[in-house]
Amino acid sequence: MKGISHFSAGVALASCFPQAVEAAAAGHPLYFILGGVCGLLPDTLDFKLLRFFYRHDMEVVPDPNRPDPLLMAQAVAHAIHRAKATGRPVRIKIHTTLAGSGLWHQYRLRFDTVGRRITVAFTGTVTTSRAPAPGQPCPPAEAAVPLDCDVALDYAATNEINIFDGPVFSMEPQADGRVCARFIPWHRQWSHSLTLAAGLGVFAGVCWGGLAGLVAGGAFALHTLVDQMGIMGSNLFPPFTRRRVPGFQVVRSDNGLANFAVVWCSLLLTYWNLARLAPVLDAAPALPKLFLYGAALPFAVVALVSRRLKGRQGTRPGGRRRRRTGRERGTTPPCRT
Amino acid sequence: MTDAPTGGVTAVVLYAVAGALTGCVAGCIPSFHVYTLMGAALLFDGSVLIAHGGAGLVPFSVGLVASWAIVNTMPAVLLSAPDESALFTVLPGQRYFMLRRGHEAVALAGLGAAGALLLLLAALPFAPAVLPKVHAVLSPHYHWMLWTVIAFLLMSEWPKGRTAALAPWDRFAAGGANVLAGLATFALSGLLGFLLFYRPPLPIERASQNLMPVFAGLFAAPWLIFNLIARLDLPRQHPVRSVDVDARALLHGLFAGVLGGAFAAFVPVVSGGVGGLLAGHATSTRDERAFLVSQGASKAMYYAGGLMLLFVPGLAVARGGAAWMIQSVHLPDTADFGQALLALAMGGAVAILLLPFCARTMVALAARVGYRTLSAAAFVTILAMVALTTGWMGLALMAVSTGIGLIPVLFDARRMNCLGVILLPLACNMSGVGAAVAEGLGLMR
Repeated sequence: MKGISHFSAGVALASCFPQAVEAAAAGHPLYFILGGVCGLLPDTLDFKLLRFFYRHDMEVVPDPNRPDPLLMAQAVAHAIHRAKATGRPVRIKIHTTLAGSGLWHQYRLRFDTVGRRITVAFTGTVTTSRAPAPGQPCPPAEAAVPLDCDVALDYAATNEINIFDGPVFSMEPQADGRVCARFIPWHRQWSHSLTLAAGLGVFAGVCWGGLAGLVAGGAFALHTLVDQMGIMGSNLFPPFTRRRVPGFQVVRSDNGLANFAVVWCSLLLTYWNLARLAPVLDAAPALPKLFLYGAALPFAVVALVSRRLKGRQGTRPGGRRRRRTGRERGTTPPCRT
Repeated sequence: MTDAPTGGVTAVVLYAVAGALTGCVAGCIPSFHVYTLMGAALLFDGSVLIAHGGAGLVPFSVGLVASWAIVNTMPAVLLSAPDESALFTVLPGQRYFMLRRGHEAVALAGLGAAGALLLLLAALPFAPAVLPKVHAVLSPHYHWMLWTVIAFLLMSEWPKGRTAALAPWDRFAAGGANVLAGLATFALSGLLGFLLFYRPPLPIERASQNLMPVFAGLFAAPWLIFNLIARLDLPRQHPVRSVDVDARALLHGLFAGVLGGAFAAFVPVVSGGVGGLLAGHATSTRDERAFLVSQGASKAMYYAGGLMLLFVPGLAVARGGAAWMIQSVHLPDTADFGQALLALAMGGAVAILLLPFCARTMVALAARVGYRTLSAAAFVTILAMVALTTGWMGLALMAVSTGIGLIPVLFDARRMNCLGVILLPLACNMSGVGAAVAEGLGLMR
């Protein structure tokens, strides 16, 4: 999920404790700040700290003027072959490339597990908000490199690489002879664990009292649990577990409507919690009524309108009708966790 | 204080149109804020705003603010071409402009503003029944909302630096430079804010203008300085008769903009930009057309909606500089609400109708005299306003603020971090720790 979804869920969790609401009304913001900050903390740790210190064995830096898909596909295949040959993990970082001011080359890296090959295709130029930039020249199209061994995946087979920082893959040899391509292996490890949530809760409890511990640990754990609804999953109990537990695949973490639903429902819950403890007696509607009229009905309308507009767009010449699949894996079984 | 306005419908319409026309002119001047105009008018001659015993104050002010909020999205699109140093932060409006589609970008923002004003006009009659209750529930909690907004603002800055072929610590330094610059900007502007609130450098008779030179330095001056030093030929702009936007992008942008603008208008101290940022994150606004629509909608909703809260019967809360200034000379009553609604409709309509004309005039003017000359003229105007209203000390404050305002521009951080100047001291004050922090900083001795 996006940062604001986790943040608002953490704030909503804090509002569920009447003592936190009473303290806030008396001018003490600590519990709500802890809820928001600890709700976002796992991703902050990963994206602003851990990823910079993760070791890479290989780096692929595309030429911004003449990006060559063949060279890039060869580099990824080489990492897989080297891992297979040495029996040790090989970590390969694939960088993004600027196409101009605020413009990025977008390319698609695909692990074709059925055809046993790596394909890299440049798919155009996008802006920093990942919107297609019309009128920009497109680099050479596509290249494929065959693999000498089978590949297993722990995430999507197709990866769109575009803005800011590209992904890292850890190519790890498996006992069954395959090589597993682990997607951004530094992400959702101990930073997204229930173990650390418990530790953080104890730390906050010692520093600011039991309620602070519950809010901090709870918000951190809520982040992990919400992320578990996606595809990648998290390493839930390090040091007792060493790998990410695959997610429940309920929703993709970048789904706009799902993220907005989390934010909106968190806001409704927060308001309800504040209102039921406020001196204004008729300001707190019944919770089912609030969610029915405040969330369920509006979202149903939005979904209907959105589907209708999508359908209309799809009937136009050149309109996009492609639906993103939940999990674009190969047909081979995934890596063992 | 003045009496309640007593003008008839015609007078209200005339004052609103006069305000709207003034707002359109002010909105065309790059980096010129409507609050600066209102503040200067109040400081030197209150009669400009309190015309005819108060009859003109409400409709003129509402027309002025609504039209300025609509038209003022234009200079940011048509007079801020990015040069090659802008690696990551080319805004959609700037990109449209470089693709010769500046008029289209202005039209998209105008569509957003028009939609937001229509929604605002439709919602305001129900406001007296709903908003006072919501305000009563939330008012003891605004302080922590502000703290959580600050926390999210600081935590959500994305590391942008390039890290290819670097060692881990160098990666951290290069990748996180913009994040650290953003934190430094927030801290420095927050310290400046404490200075302004607890030991104002301006003489007491100018104290109400404390923030004006600081805002000019933090936000206006860096942009104008970069405009002056950039050596770019402005691309000729295509005239437009229609805009390329589908209903999905339009509704998405409108929804995001209205949500962000409404949040910022209702919660004290939160600015339209911050509200827009939060709504953009919440609604995943990526489409450039939706972004432009949301920009127009957010600005109109924030400025006009915030001001209208002053006139909602049973609520009457002051949000934004215009409301504070009006409140200082006139206590709103229930009669003002209808006038304000009418003025909002008139002001918005005038601004929307004049927007294409203003855009064409600005493009023609920029082509004739050059955008650097226009930027220089705007810079001189702002310097003159600051010097006239706040004197040498104001200019010194503006210079310090400009230094802070340049940090995010140079390091590709969010310029919004400069809002620490009000966010930090006011959040501390609302939580009751402002005086203790000021004491710790040695500002109370």
